[in-house]
Amino acid sequence: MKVTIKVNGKDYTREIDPLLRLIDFLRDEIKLKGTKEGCGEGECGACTVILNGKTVNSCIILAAACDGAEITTIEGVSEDGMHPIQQAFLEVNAVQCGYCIPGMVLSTKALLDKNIDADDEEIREGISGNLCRCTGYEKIVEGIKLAQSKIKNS
Amino acid sequence: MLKFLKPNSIEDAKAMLNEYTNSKLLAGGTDLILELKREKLKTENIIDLGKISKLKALTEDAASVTLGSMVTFTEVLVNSIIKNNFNSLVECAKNMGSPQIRNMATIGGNISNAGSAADVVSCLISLNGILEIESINGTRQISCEDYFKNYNTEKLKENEILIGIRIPKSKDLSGYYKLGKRNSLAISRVSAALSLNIEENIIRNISICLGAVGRYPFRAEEFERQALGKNAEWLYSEEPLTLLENDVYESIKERATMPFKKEAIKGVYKEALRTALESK
Repeated sequence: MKVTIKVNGKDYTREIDPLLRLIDFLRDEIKLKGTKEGCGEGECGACTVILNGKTVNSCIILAAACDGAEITTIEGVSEDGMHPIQQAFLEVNAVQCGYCIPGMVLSTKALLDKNIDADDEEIREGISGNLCRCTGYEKIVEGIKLAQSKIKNS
Repeated sequence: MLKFLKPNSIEDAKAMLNEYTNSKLLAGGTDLILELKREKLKTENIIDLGKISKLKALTEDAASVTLGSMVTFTEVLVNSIIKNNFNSLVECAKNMGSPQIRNMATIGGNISNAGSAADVVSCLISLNGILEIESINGTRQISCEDYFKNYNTEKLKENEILIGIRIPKSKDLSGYYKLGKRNSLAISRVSAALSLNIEENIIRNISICLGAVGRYPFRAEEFERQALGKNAEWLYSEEPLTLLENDVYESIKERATMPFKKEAIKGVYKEALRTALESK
């Protein structure tokens, strides 16, 4: 079957198997490798992308169901250079192995787009669907707080 | 090859279900896609309900609130109609899955999949929710309670679609609590939903439904009978705890988790009660 999915502002039309997952569409069909696969069952959040404004796990969504939808992946999070969230993560050393970070950045973006003043609890709730096995989350939360001030002051 | 169908209306979806036997309805997909991928489930056709806007509507009239079956948990969490009427549903949505799962997972999917730990079912039973089911042959309505009590005969037929859930408005306070293994993403191990009305310190109305302590959630009927007409203090006494413990014991006495769950239900009940009373 044929689908057209808008990814990071650009339309991609492909002939696909109806059971192709969104993550496979992104990584294999259009070669955007920033989206990572972790658990493959919607638990870890490594594959998080933004679908029509909301974060979703791309490993448990069929590409076929996204026909006509708009997706933002980590590659599209910023138009030029790094997004303030990415910059903030770098500055506070929120990144260790880095595998969870694309998903973490997108969950943070979805959260701050809605609520730039999210408090500690809201931040932790906002990234509760993204597992990080390196950092213990403290540095990531610190990075998100720095990102809040960067965005507000920009 | 597997067919992927995208009806634009409920009528189209019903016609497709009738025409294409061996079909699966796709709602949020958070369970279905894993089952298809792991080949636990085989189907020739997927009917995607995602294009039918009517199924995503959440509406109210003077007497009731109706949730379309494709309403997501995120929508339940933020919608003011739900917030103003059914605190237990808000508590339930808050504790279901992660933000990503809540953005996709639907109320109808949670019901149709009929897991024993289906978070929303115990709330809907305690709120006297009514399932609205349609097929090309007609419509039927059944209370959520009867649906699960008589699951083998009442469950959705091959050609039926769960369209929505109607919940009667009432002045009752409602609450919900679930105990999982960890905060987020956990499947409930024990849950309780209750709704109650206390006037002049007398329990005028109460309904309590226990989840994940049996094949399907069920109401603690003896508890409800005993509670009616008593002073509100009864709710905090030892008696309700013993009644709930007995219910859990009777429901799962053969199971290894019984000793844990019959204790856990007491704390879960107290927390559910607290969320209800604090919502006032």
